[in-house]
Amino acid sequence: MEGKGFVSYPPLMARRTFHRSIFFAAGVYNILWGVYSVFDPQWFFRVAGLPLSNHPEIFGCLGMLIGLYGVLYLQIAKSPEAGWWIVEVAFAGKIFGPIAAIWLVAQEVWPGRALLILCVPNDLAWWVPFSLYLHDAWKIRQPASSQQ
Amino acid sequence: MEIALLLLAIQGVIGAFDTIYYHEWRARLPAHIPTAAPELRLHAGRDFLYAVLFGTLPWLAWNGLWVVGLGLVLTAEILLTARDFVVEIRVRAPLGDVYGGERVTHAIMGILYGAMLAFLIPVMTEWWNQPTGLAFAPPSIFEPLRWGLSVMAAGVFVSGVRDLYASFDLPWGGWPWKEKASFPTRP
Repeated sequence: MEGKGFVSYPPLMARRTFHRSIFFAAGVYNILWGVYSVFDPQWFFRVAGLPLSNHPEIFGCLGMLIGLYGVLYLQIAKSPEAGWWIVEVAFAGKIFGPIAAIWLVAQEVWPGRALLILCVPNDLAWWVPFSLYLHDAWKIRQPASSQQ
Repeated sequence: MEIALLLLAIQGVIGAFDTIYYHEWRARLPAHIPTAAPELRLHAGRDFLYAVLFGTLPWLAWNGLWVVGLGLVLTAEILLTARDFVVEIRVRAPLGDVYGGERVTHAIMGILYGAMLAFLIPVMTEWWNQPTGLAFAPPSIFEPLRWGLSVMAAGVFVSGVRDLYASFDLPWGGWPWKEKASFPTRP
């Protein structure tokens, strides 16, 4: 239809409002988590019962990165059709992070509580909604013929 | 520091009045998306900056290079407010304009912010000469003031999330207001 005064818009994804709400929540959560970690970079070590870090600024830097991811999530909440590749990268982090954490707990480097504090709210809680989003985003990227 | 925090608390009270009475009750901004979305996003950004100020200044010292970070937060607030003054001309056009009383409120808040900075800058100069780091160093102030500011930090953060959520046109973002089609007309 293009070229005759019409513009073709990309298709909207299924469960759009649900995905937008989820990424809004993820964005706010990440920014809050990130900002707090910048101001109190020892909180995780204290709560997990680990020795306090000699270099808390590294955890503060992690807070900054996670907070910036929150900004990206808010952008996905605005236009979910355009942000699937960001979510793929984020989802990879949500898989690799817990794998590393489980290994640390298995090696008794970290107590089990650390896994609970860090990985459940930051990673595992988002697996289902992020998977659903990636599924729906993948569907709209398929040629129309294969969507039947 | 006590006077700076007292001025900040007064700013918080007037800001809460401005938000609840003018932004919510009179203009019902969250119900007027997409028209009001740019203004709501500016309000949200500013609310998050105030949450940092209300939440940290009664408890922490921003020592050394952290003063630069605090300076950026304070400057960002000024820039967002300046931008808000421009954006609200367009957003409020269907209402006639920004309400007269709201303009007065904004002017008072601008003056208060300047006065608060005048008392905060000498403290920041002291912090600048300390080794870099955020130190838990609650200034000696009236305890209810400290806790009042902490409650304001939570309140202004929630207000920011509310405005940001509404600006995204997500479900029930305009709650409890019903208007969708246009701004209410002035009597």
